[in-house]
Amino acid sequence: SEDKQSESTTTRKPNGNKATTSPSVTKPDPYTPERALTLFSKYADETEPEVIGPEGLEKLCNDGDISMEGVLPLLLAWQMDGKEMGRFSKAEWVKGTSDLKISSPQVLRQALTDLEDLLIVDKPPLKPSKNEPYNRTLYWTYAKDKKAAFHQFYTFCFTLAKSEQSRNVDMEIVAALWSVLLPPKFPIMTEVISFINEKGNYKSANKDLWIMMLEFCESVKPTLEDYDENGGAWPTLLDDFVEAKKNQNPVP
Amino acid sequence: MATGVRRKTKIKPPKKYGPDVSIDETWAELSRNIREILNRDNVTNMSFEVNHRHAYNMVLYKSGDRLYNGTKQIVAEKLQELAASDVIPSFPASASGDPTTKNQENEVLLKTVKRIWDDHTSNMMKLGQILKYMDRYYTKPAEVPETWYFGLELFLKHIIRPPIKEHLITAILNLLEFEREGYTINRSAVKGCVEIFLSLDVSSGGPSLYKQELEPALLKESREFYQNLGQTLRDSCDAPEYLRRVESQFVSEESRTHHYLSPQTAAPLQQILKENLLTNHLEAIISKESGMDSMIDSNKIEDLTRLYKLYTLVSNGLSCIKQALKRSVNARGKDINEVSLSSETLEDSTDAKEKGKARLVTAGAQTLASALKWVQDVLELKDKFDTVWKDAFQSDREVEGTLNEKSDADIDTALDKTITIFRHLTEPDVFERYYKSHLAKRLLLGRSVSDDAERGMLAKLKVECGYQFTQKLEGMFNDMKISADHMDEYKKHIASAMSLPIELSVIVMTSTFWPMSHSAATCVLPELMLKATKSFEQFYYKKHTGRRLTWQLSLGNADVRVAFNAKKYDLNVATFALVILLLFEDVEDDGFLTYEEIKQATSMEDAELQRHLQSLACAKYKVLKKHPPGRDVTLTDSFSFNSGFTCNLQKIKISTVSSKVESGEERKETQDRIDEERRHQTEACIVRIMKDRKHMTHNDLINEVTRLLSSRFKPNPLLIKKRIEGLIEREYLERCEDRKSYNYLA
Repeated sequence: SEDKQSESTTTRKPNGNKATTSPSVTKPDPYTPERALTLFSKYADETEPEVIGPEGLEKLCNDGDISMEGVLPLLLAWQMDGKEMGRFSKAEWVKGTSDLKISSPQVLRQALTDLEDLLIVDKPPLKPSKNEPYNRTLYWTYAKDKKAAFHQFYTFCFTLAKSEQSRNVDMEIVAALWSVLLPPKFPIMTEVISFINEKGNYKSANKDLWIMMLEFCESVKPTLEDYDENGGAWPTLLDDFVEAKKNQNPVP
Repeated sequence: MATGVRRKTKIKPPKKYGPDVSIDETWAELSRNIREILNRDNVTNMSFEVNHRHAYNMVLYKSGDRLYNGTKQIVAEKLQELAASDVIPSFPASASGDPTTKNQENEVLLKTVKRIWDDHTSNMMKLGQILKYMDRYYTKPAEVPETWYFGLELFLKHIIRPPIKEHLITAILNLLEFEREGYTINRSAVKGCVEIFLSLDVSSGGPSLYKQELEPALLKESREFYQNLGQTLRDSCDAPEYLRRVESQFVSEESRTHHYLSPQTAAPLQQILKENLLTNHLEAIISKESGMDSMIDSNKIEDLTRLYKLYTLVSNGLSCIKQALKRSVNARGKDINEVSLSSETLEDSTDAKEKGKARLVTAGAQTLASALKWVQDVLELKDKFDTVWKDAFQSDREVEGTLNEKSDADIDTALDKTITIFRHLTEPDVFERYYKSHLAKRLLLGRSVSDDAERGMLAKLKVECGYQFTQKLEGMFNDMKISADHMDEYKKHIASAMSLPIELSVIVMTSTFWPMSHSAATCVLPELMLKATKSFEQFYYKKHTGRRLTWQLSLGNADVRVAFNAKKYDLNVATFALVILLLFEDVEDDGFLTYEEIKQATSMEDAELQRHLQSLACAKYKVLKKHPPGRDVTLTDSFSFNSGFTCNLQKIKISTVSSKVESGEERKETQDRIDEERRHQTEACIVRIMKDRKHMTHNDLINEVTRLLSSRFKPNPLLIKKRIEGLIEREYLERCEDRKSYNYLA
């Protein structure tokens, strides 16, 4: 992605911090509702013109150099307040883009990486500048209380991944979500995820487990020494994990 | 008369012996006489009156102190003399040596001292009489002890003194030990000396010399002796022998204290015995190889009685017995289960399954034979403990608690025994599951011994476990009753409407009551049978609209008369077996049907088909011939009708072979069902509790659920936790902020 990034910076006027100092007028174009709508129709599904489907999303991401692998698409869905994975309705899009004042894939990418840096990688927030590439109002609210913002995003992801009627999400999807959401801040999650994969008998996760996993990451020390198996009513999956881990390297 | 005589008698004043006789002379004569008395010379020639008068005079003429001290002096001298001349020489010479000699020497010493004591006391008695006046008018004002008492004092001072005292005590103890070791000793010698010790006290009014000197030494000695004895016996004897020995020790110590020791020693001595022979060895003895277990095994009621009697003497004996009993019962239950489990794998012709469970084994299915044996074993075991309890333990209430007995009144009936066993079960719900399926089998196959007995059992279970437990069981009984009514009506119905070539009997089972799987094995019924079932369906649906009948053919059986070459036999076979048999009706006597053909004709499942073919062709009564012959049915076999079949019974019951694999599956299925039921119960229980409490910490909830469910089974915390998670998922509960407690969501 380094290459791609450098490539994109050569094709356009430099963006990022530089862009704020010498703003480009032509590229990318500043936000207008019309441009946002044009963008929507560009990526809208052929059969369903009111929706951007998975294919359109992929195209959008390609054009904006947004990686489909990582957390960015999830952040996008969050910002657009999407109801379904990989799908946006026109209404969602219009609302989302107008809130952020974004009408180009490149700026969108910047907005999403900003959020990634802030919430997932836990970098310090940006400094406000006079000439913002997009409307950062939300960003500043997130930056004020990163933990709450992350909680909001984290909870949103579960709802997004879950189909409307069901209470559970397949463990496969859940593990994938965890692997993009948590390990950068909580290294222990890498172990938890590989434990889940190794055991292979956890079929699905419910909301409780989802919430408790974050709670676990945030409140239990990486050494697990303060994990209270009996008093704390942790989900059994975590009990299992801790037990397995303790057996692996027994406490001296 | 008497008063008259007395009035005539004149009391003369005593003659004044007078001061004319000097005190010195008087004393000289008196002291000579006293010496003579002590030496027991010609006492008979002595005049009591003269001596008495001398003493009287001396006290009268203010020479009481001279008389008193003089007498004391003389007695002391005499005792000193005796000690030197008699006692010291009779000290046991050899410290070691032959026990018998030692014994004799000790005896001599004791006898000597006893003799001196006897002489001394009798002398002192005589002196007391002579010096009566002195005792009366001198000792009190002078504040000195009377004759008798200074006699005792002097004896204590001059005879019972070191080293004589030590020798005496050693001698007594030696003799005691000697006797404990099984020799005979001269008890009266010991008794004599002990009595001396008892009558002497160190300070007047204080504890006796016995209490002060002899008893402590004696107890110390005894403690050591019994400590050793306990060890030795424990190592060298088996449990019954040990108990016998201990018992005899108790008896002999008891008699010892009675015969030659003081009764006051009895209690402390018993205490020593208890401590050293019982308390210290309780566990070791009861769990010896020859301990309680083997006593129970070999019905040694006498030994058990002894065990109980002795153990109840000490405070923790009873609990020790209880524990050992518990262990024993546990182990036996386990053994029985293991035996029947292993026998199952050996036995081939399995017919019915019985579930046996005494505490520990969670799942086990047995063949009918071993099942019966199991029940029998358990009952026997129960009987045995009953006997043990009654005979040996004197119906002790506490032991009763251990055995979980019912009251005496209803011990006799077998049902109660079962109930009692039931109480021993830790997981009644498993029992219920099995009880249910066996009850179902009994009911369906009409095997129950008596309806009353079944109902009686049910009533007892109800008392024991509550309404919930027996609800379904009662439902089954009800179904049976309704079905019988139905059949009466149905018979009337077909009698009027049409006539069927076969007689049909149907039991309609409410699916929720009966422990049968709902997807029953089916097969294609022959036209004849199909018609019969249809006619019943018509009849039934007319009566009960909206109900659905599913035929559980695998549970049925049929009576059929089959004509063989020799004669006709009445066979009782499973419904499926009948379906197979009927296929051969159309086949020539020598004709074959291949396995495949039979399967196609009946569309039975392989396992089921093989099972029934096996019971028809490979079991005791070979109604079919299998080609090639063999014990197991394979897919390539073919079958023919065995027209040459003979048997000396007219009615033959062909029981169905149950295949190995299936019974394993069945067992698993049962376990699964139990697990599922437990999940439901656990959830229901959690919800009940939370509905009531609204908010509870995790641990409290787990404890409460465990407590409430323990009458049905022992839930493990993990299971409960999983159920809590399930309930959170379904939003009956939510976690609180502290993550350690839950809220109930209405």
